[in-house]
Amino acid sequence: MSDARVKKSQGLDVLTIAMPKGRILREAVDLFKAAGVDFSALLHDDRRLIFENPEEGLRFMVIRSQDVPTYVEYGAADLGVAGKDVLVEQARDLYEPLDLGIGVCRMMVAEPKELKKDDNPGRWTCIRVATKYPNITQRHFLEKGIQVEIIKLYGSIELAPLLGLSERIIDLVQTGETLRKNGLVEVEDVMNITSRLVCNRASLKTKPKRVKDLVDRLSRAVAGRAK
Amino acid sequence: MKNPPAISLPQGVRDILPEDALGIGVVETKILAIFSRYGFKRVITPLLEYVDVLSLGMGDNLKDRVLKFIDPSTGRVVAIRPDITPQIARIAATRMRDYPLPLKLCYNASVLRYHDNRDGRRSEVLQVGAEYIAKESSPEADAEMIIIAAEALRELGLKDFKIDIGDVGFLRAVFDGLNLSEPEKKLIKEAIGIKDSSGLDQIINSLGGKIAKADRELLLNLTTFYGEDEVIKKASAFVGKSGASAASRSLENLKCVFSIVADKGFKDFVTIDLGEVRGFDYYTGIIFEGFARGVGKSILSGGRYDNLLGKYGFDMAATGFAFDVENIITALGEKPRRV
Repeated sequence: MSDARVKKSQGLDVLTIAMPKGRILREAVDLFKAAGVDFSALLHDDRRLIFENPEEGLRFMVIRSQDVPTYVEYGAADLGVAGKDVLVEQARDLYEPLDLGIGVCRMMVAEPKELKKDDNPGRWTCIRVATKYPNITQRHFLEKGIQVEIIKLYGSIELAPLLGLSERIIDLVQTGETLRKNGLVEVEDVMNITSRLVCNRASLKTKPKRVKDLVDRLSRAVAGRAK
Repeated sequence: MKNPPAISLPQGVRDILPEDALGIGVVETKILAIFSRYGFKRVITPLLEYVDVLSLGMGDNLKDRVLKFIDPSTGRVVAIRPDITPQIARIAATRMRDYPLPLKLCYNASVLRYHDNRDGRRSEVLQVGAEYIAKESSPEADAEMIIIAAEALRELGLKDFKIDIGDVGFLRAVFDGLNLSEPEKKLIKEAIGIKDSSGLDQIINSLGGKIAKADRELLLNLTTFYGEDEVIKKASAFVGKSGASAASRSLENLKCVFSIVADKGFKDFVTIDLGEVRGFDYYTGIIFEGFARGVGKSILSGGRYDNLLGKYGFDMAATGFAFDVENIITALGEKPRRV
C-alpha cells in the first residue's frame, strides 16, 4: 500500500457488507472486482467468514443468504447482496439501490406433467403448495382468490409432488433441468429474480457519500457487464 | 417440586429496571427542558381514544398497527394510542381554540404500535415530542423544529448524527403533474421509496410516452437525490426556474429552511433526501428523520402536516416530531467504528 493510500484510508469509516454464501458469492466477487474492490480471498478459504479491505475502508462478511436482509435492516451490516426472492419474502425495511444483474432466475408454480394435461389454473379454488417462500405463495394465490394450504420446506422442493406431500410447488428455476428430471412442468410465472444491492437506511443517511460512491462504481460495473 | 406459575409478559412490551430508567429519565428531562426553552408547554394525553376519532389523524401505515378493542360499556371501538399527534390535534381543536397562536405543545409518553411481532420488535415506544401549530405554515417553524432536534441531540452528547430532510410537498407537486393513474403513481412511488433505480427505470419505460421527457428525467434522478444540500440545486435544474410551479416553490421553501438551520451552525449535521416518500399520505411539506452512527433505526422523526387539524375542524398549519427515547439511549452507548 502506498503512503498516499494509507493516508486516504485514515479516519475512513468502515462500511460492512454482508455477502450471501454459495453460488451468488462467486458472481458477486467478479462484479465487485470490476468495480475495483477485490475480496476474492473469501472464495479461497471456506472457513474464512470476514475479509477486511482497509484501503477502501470495507469489510466483507459471508452469511446465509436468508440472513442478509436481517443483518442489514438492523445495521449490523451497512450494505448487503440479497436475492429479490428473499427480499420480497421477508419484506424488510431496506433500500435497494441497485439491481446487480447476477443470480438471475425465475420463481414459478410447477406441477407434475400428468397433472398439467387436464389442469386449468383459472379453475383453482383451493390448492396445496410446497415452498420455501410461504409469504410470497400466500400473496400470489390470495390475490387471485385461491385458498392455499402451504407446506413450508427448507430444500428439495421438487420432491414434494413426487411423494404426494403437495400437488404443486413454488420454487426458483434457472435452466429448468431439475424440474424436468423430476417430471415437473411450469404452470405459472410468479416473478423474475436477480440479486440486489441492499442498504441500511441509517447507513445511507449518515454516510451518503460513501454509499453513493460504491453504488456508482457497482452500477458502472453492472453496465459494463451487460455490454 | 411444583412448577412455578407462568409469570410472563405479552410480546413487544418490557419492564424498565432502575439502571435503565435512570438513563431514560435523564434523556427525557433534557429534551423537555429544551422544548420548554423554545416555549413549548407540556400536555398529558389519555391512553385510550375512540378509534374513529384517532383515525381522522392517522397515516395509512399506522392504521393497521393499532391495538383496538370494544369498550364493554358503550360497545364502541377504542384503541390504545399509537401516536400522540392526533391526540394533540384533537385537544387543540376541541379545547384550546382560545389560546394564543402559535400553539406550541410537547409531550412525553409511550405509544403502542402493534407488530405481527414474529421478531420480538418493540410495540411500546417511549416518545418525547413537540407540535407547533400556527395559522400559516412557515419555513421558520420547520427550521425551528429541526434546530431543536439537532440542539437536543448535541446537548445529549451525541457527536455523530444526521438530521435528514425530505420534502413530501415537493414530491406531491411532482406527482400531481403526472398524467398517470393512481396505481401507476403508486408503483413509481414504491420504487423511489426503496431507491430502486433499476426497477424505476423499468416501470417508467413500460409507461412509455405517458410521461413527459422532463418528468422522466426528474423521476429517474429522485433515487439519487440524497446527500448534502447540493441535491436541492440539482433538483431545481429539473423543475425549471420559472418559480411558478408548485415543485419549484417547494424547493425554494426547502432551501430557505436549510439556510436557517445552516446559519445556526448545524450545516454539517443535515442531509437532504428528495426521494424520501415516508408518510406521503400524511405529511404535506418538509419531513425529517434523525440518524446516529451505528444505530440502524431512526432516532427521531417528524414533519409538516397541514391537513390534519382541519380534519378535527380546526384549520391550522402544523409541524411536529418525536424522539424515540430508547433508540437515543442505544445511540449514546455506541462507540464510533473506525478502521
